[in-house]
Amino acid sequence: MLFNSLTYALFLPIVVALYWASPTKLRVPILLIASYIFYMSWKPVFILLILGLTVVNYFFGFYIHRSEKHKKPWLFAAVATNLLTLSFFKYAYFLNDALASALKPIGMAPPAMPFDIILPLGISFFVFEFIHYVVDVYRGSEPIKSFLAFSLFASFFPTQIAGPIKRFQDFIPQFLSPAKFSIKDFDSGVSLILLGLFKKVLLADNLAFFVQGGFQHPELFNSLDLWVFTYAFAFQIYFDFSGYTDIARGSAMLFGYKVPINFNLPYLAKNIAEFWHRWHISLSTWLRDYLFIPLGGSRGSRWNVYRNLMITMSLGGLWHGASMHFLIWGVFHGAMLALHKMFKESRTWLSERGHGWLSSAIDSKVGSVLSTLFTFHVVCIGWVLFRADTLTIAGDMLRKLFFIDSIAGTVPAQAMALPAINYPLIYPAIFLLLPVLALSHIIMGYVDKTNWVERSPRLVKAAWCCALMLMILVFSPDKSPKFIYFQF
Amino acid sequence: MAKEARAKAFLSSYVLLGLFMFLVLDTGFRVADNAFHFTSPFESPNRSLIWWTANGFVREKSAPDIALLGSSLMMTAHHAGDATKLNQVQNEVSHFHSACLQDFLADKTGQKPTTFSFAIAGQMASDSYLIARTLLAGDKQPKVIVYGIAPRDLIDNTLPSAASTETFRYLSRIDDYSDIALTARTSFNEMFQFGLEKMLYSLSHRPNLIAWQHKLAYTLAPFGQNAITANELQTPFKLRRLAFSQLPDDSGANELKVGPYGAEPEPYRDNTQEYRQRYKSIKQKTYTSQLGYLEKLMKLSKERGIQLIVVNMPLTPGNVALMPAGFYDQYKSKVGAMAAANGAEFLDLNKPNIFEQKHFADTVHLNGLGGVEFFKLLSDELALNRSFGAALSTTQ
Repeated sequence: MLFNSLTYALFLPIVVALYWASPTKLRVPILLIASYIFYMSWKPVFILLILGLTVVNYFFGFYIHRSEKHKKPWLFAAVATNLLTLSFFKYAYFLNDALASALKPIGMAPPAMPFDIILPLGISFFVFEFIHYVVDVYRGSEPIKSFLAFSLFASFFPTQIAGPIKRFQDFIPQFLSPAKFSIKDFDSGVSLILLGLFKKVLLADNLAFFVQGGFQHPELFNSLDLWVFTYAFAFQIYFDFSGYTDIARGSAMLFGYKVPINFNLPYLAKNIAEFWHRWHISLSTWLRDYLFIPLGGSRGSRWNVYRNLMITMSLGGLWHGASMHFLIWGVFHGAMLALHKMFKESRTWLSERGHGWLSSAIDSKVGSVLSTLFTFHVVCIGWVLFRADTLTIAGDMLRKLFFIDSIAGTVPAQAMALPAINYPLIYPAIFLLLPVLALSHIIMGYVDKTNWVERSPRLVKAAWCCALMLMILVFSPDKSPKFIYFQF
Repeated sequence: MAKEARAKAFLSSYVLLGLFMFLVLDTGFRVADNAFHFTSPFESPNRSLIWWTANGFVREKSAPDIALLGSSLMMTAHHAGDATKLNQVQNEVSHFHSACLQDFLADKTGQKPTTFSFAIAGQMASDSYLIARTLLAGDKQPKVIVYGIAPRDLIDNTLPSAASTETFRYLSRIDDYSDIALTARTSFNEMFQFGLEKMLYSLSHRPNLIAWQHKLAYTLAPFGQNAITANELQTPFKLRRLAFSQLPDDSGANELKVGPYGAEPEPYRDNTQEYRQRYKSIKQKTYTSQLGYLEKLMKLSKERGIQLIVVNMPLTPGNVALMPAGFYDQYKSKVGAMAAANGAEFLDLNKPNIFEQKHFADTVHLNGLGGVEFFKLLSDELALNRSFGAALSTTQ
């Protein structure tokens, strides 16, 4: 059941109505049943997976908590169970292919997969929530006593498929002391859902076809065209995923629950480290707490920190998908973070020796704008690795992006091929759309900073909702692609 | 007291106020459009084949003597046949008159009828019925309908429902199809969407609003004006193919052209796999429903005094062999019996002794050579057909 489907448009109000009309005792069971129905609407059999992992992790939590001598082995068993389950569904083909490539030179081949493996929806997200749970219990948090609450924590339908990755310490208390119906939550929830739908169906989906054309057939285009496609994808993935998160947060709010934010205007980041504080926040903080810090974090020698960054981001890349281009994307971000750390250290070193000009230049207004533009372009280069279907396509695109073709003298005569495309509308319209989207980021920054929406008169807020309803209804494409993060 | 407080809280909701504003706006649009008629049902944001055809037909000054209906089998025979006969490239979105049929019939009968082709790729029996019902009426009513049919037009496995075709969607804005609303839709989502469209003006007039937005974007966008007025094929074929699978049917003025069958004809394309899929596990429900629309077409023609000639289109023996055993014969006898019962004629032009592999572009579509041959054979048969002769000689 997709958030942007008619089925969800019916499902959500029914569950909300049932939830608030029921006695408080029945509300958690109602949400749990609704969450399982939501999950089963895709492939009913996978309910066994989420149920199985819930039961296993529930008991692991208690064993880890109660055991005095065997805390570590229990934790190891719990993490291994979760990771093995994830690996089986997500990485079996990847590992089999890697093994095949390794064995090929010696004329051997691994056995063919005896059955087809389908990747269960949301597995990467709920497995990470389970790992967070068992690790935190190991670190001293109290395990969740109520099996119902624990089951709902993992399967809560608004965040079930693509996060945000929740923390049980924030979430469980909301079950235990349920909120009362509030019209403020209702208004905020519905406006978030509308905003999310606007981002997804109007912006991301309309950009999707344009982006696909460029990324599937880069050979048709030249350097400038490919930059336009790359910018378009940067906005597509942002609006797709942040739109999804808004709908998830809005849906949760309708039941009186708060789930964490996942995005904070990421393309306004002034450096790559700041970008990761603003992009997919629930994943980056998870990676920080359960991978980077256990690896040693920022402690130890400089090279150890760089190594930790590289490992964390490479595994973060692989988490997105069992494919080489995701791994390379992760390695790229790891390298950029390490470079940023080196640069920061050089700045401090220079400042300490009386050469503060570099810091002053970077901290100036012009420096801030240039840093933001530079960071955005670094992220865009990463997006090429992320979006390209294969490493070969990514390589071709990157080569063209940096004018290698022009050096070789093979750039087509015309400066850009895009304006010559007569079809469909998104091609000529893109030159209007992209500047508007870039500007929208800056405007949203101002709106957030000044808390403009909250301070607006009721009539303005109502008009905004009305405009969103009209635009979503009228301008949504006939066919809406799935949310990008559903594949992870 | 609690009830009052709750009511007050709801009244303070800006979302509910927004919803109310939306409903007022929607009703306002409806009232204004009813008063000033600023939308046209023929307007569409995407230039689909039914859009080109319906708008082309509206521009016709008089009713044709013969209207051609059918799917891509009739469509390719018409365009490729004329391109070959006239030795001239034909533009599929604006070539509506069948030179082959007109000239061959003139040779046979001494009378040159006027024609108009409504044959569109993917046309199902339900689409043919709707075209006849909505467009072939009043002073635009033809004397004869020649409907080229093949099993795919009744059983296509890839069709979710009768209401899911572009033809159905487009024509349902011109005419009221409430009487078939339930039978044409198979899923709950489709029914729900239909209900919403009935209720909300902005949803039912979505194509008009998108068309306006497109015009605005083309006007404002740099290069847009150039793109919309350009008369040359500009979109790379790879992108068109991608768009075809993901976007609504849309073809520019010069993007669909067919040339004469020449010294170097297009190589034969084996589309066996595609048809294996289409014929695979025939959905009885679709078949029965589409046969129902065929019968509706026959009854409608009879009621309006239009002579309907149902023509079984040529297929390669290999394609017929892909159908479940006995299905093809059963289909022919069913359609034949239905025609006989409803005053229509059934002509079986699938004659393997006449249409050889050289006449086909793939396992089902005729090439230019085949197109000419098909219309020759059709004209021969029509010239001998009394019902056809009688219908053509009537004055309207």
